[in-house]
Amino acid sequence: MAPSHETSFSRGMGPVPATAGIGLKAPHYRALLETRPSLSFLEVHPENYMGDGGPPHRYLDALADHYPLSFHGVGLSLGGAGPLDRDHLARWQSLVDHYAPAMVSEHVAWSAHAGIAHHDLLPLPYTEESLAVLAGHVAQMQDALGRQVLMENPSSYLRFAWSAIPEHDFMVELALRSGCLLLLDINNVHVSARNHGFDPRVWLAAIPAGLVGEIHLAGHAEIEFAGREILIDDHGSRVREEVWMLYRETVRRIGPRPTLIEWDSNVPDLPVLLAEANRADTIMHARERSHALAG
Amino acid sequence: MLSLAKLQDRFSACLRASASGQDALEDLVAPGIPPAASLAIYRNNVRSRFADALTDVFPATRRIVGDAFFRFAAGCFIEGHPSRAGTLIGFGREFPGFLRAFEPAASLPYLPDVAALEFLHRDAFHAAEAVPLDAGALHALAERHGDALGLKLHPSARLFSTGFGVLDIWEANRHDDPAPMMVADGVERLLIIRPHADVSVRRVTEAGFAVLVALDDGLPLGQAINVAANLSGAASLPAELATLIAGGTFSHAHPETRT
Repeated sequence: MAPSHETSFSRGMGPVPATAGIGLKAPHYRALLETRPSLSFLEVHPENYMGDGGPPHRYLDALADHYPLSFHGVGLSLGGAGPLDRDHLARWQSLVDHYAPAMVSEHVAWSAHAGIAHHDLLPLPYTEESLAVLAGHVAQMQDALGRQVLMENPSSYLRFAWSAIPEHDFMVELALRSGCLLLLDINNVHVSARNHGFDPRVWLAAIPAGLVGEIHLAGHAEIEFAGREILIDDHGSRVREEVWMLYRETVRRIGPRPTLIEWDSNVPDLPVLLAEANRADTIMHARERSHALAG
Repeated sequence: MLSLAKLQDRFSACLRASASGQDALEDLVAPGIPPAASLAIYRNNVRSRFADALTDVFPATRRIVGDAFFRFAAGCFIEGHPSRAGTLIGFGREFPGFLRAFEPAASLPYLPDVAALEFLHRDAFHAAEAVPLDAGALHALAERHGDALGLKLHPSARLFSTGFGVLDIWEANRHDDPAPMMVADGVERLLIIRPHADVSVRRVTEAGFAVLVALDDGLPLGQAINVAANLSGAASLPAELATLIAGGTFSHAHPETRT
């Protein structure tokens, strides 16, 4: 694990070390404050902190004195054909001003349309039009927040027949056009690869190391749907071995990155999350050790 | 090939349709299953997210009617009350009003008021912070300004008047394995407030409620107390106000400037 935080951390200072963090969940607020385990960052959905005050802010404020924060948005609908929701962007801005998170990210997806929010990350067709819309919205988000944003690849259960651009190329092109970095969700690559029948290793190899700013790991579920097995990205269990393998290979290729253990449903006790984070750290450090030996 | 706007129009309509498979999208490629089935995965995700959000805000309401009925009511509510914000904080504000007109729940006349209390509780939870005025500070202000003193309720304060004893009903259903509950008719007046970390719900008298409403309307303390002079609880009003002050009900004072 990362060196322990002996003194209190100064908000917004310096890059997040390339070690593991966890998603911050309300049931763990107290345990984290009381035990202060060594973690390189805590990640939250800013949408859960868009109330005016109250316990969520009290806890996040207290934890922000000890850990770098990562704000991982789920509601801006950057892939929406219409304009961005200015109220939502303004709430983002005031949260970023207050908490000075070390990392800011959103999704390659749309979640709202014509003033109605679906609160789900919905798939985009990979076309020139989508790329132009998304790159424009990412640039708008970066301008509004004054920050470089990390954009996450989605998991999906369908594709559009007229999608002309391979997903990995779409991600790379988005980064080049908007100046954003990429948040590589390796579980999502695995889920989509299984659902759509592509090779996750080809997908991952197409992403230049220099564009990757963060990695996400999570568990998924397998369901039987209409007589076929489908992987559902439910963030409700431990990271699967196939995903750890892809992570190991990716870290070997691109080097260590801040890595998040995401667990959003059936949230376990804190030690389970810390053990997963510890495993990610061990994999990253093993890579450093092997380099040291090779050198 | 659909334009992005057209695609999102159709996809949104599919998600919001009351049954899956309606208004299906053409040219979808799904993982070896019919495209309508893959759309149904998204549709189920969206609907269960909204139902979960309502379950989170209205746990006692759900316990009273049972999970199946609650999910049925939630499904009906969602169709007419889509979310319009990128955050789910505040979602369900119209649910108590919806229940008031929801025929299948008509046999439980107190249910909408239990739901209203639960929403106000959540609303107070997320309300802005302010340091409550303590009794000492208020006493000094009262010495200086007398009856002209104005008091602002803490930003988390919510006032709620109901025709049922909903506080007992809510208390009995706050946790799994609900306690037996008595449904009492009669007006109940409640102050829901979060002066510090935790939300509390307190009963107030008719007189106390009238004073809080008057103060919230900006009347100075002297006039507010006059409003309550003939109401039930007026005799014990000084003691009730002292309790309210000690409980952090007020966060700001202002000298009365109007003539």
